[in-house]
Amino acid sequence: MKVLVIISPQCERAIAVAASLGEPVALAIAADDSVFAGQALPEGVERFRIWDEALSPSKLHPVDRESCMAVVIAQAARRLGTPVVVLTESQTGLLGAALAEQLNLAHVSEVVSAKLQPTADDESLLHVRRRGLRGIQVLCGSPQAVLSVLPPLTESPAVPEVTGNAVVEWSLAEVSLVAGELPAPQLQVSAQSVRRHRPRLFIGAEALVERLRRDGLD
Amino acid sequence: MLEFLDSEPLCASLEALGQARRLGSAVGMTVYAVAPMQSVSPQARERLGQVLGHFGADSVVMLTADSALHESELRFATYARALLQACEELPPKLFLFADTPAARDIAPRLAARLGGIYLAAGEPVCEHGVLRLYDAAGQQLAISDDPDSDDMLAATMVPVVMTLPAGRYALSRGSTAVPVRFMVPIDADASSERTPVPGGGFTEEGHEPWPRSERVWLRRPEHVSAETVPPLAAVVTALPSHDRRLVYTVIALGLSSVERSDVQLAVPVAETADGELLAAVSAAMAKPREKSAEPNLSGLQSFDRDDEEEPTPLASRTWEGSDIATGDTEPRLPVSTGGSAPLEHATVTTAASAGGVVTFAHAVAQDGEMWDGLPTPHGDDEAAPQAELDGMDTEPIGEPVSSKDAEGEGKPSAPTESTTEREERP
Repeated sequence: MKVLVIISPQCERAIAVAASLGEPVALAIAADDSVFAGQALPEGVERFRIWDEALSPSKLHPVDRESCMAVVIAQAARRLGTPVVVLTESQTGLLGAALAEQLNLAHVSEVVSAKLQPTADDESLLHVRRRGLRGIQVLCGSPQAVLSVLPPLTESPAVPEVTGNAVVEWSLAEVSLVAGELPAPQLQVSAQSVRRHRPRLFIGAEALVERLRRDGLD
Repeated sequence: MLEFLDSEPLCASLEALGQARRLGSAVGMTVYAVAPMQSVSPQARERLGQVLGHFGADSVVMLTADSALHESELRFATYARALLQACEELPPKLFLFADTPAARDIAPRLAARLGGIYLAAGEPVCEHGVLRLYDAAGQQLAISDDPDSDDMLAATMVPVVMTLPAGRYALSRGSTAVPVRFMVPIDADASSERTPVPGGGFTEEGHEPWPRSERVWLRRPEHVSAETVPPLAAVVTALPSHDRRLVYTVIALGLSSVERSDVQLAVPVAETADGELLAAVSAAMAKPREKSAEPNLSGLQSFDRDDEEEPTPLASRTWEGSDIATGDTEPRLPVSTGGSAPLEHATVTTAASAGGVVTFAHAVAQDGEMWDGLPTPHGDDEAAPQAELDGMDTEPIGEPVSSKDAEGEGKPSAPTESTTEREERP
């Protein structure tokens, strides 16, 4: 099974999850090939890169950019025929859900690991472990999903460049899109000042722990 | 939307409800508290209208789930149909969640489904009678291409779904029980492409325990591998901490934490006393959980309106702090069962005590029951941290302090110099 993995910062766990599920296909939305440098991609992995100036992060708020990326990645997934898409949870947090909505697939967030388990009728079930407030939830479903994987806590050591397939560069046209079909930006920064907050202060350990308990962290 | 633990709403969810209340009162929006039914026991459901009305809701919407999908963790898939049904019947302009793992699953998918905007760890405030939205970086955002619109709801021409960081907002407290309605979804056509979760949906197969020591890091473990599950919360003392891998709270210790904007909860102590406080936190966590404080609901009016009547935020309700435009200045007082007098702010003593821990000569709650911590010690000693302990929302750093803060609660704020300037702009 082909698994589309989105190459982004801190995507080591996503690559590992994709590799555990099948044959990864790497895709990056980036201006140049440097995004692939240092990534622990298995040898022979197909690499694709899509770029258009309309996707430039300097022009879009992160929310709008992830909305656009969802449309582009969805088109790429359709063209590549990958039923599972694995990506890394971002600070913005929209991409996985928006992509699942585009592809009309289930979305599993906060994923820490996944595996395929064959069934008696020659099919496979996708088992996903995800982080929850109360513990690690194990979900099971058919292998058609978007998995948003938690980034790892460690910085991966420098991985030597694996000689493999060259990066295939695609324009929007090659995924049957034109810039005008991308979602229009909805957000713009309207003031230069930045609003910051002090933390909520507690008088001691007991008060802090009581608060944590009321938030489900005991 | 509120999240529950053992049938009790999470404190972070109640904070989000409190902010929704203030915004609702300021710009005239009705506040619906959405509760997943399976998270609330039948006994607690009977009081839910009272409890959530007390904390700011105009109405409660109970989402029913497909019983086959009942899971240990809240996910979009579990309540998708009821949630979307609720959004269809009661189209939201602003949909707020506490920033929890569940919210990170539900909120972005809901926003994508509604064609709305998702802002993680954002901030909705009301400034000069106009709703303003800020993103996680604190940048003010304008929606569409009309940022200077005078329409007080201009920011919500499209639905905005936001998660709010824990610890930022005060609870709201009202005095009226509110109606509860149940949202039973009309079962959608399973073959439709727009069903909430198509045939490939996932169901819970199991639930693995996750030790508290791994969920909340008091110290970073010596061995952290690529497979280590990021904790929900972590204690930091000096290093930069803002990291969205941590979901709930980043706890900072040390006096320097008072001014930090990258943490949510903090305990100000002398830097040399971190070890002692960590030990105290560890000891407190080891203690069994005591029965939680129940909000005092004895004075609530009962709900006796016609079920068909739409709730309105203006219907003879009394809200403490409902006249506060920004929602950032309401002190939080303990919720007690015994009608105790409001706690007085106490003085702050400096770090002269044993071990270098800053201690506060605090007033003691008469009933010992409160939401989180002892009251804010506001002291005159400038060497002490500018503590906004418990009870105060965390004001933006650098924003001018209003006269309300200086003079106490309940008095209308005089416009500050900067607000005057802003009002004079064309």
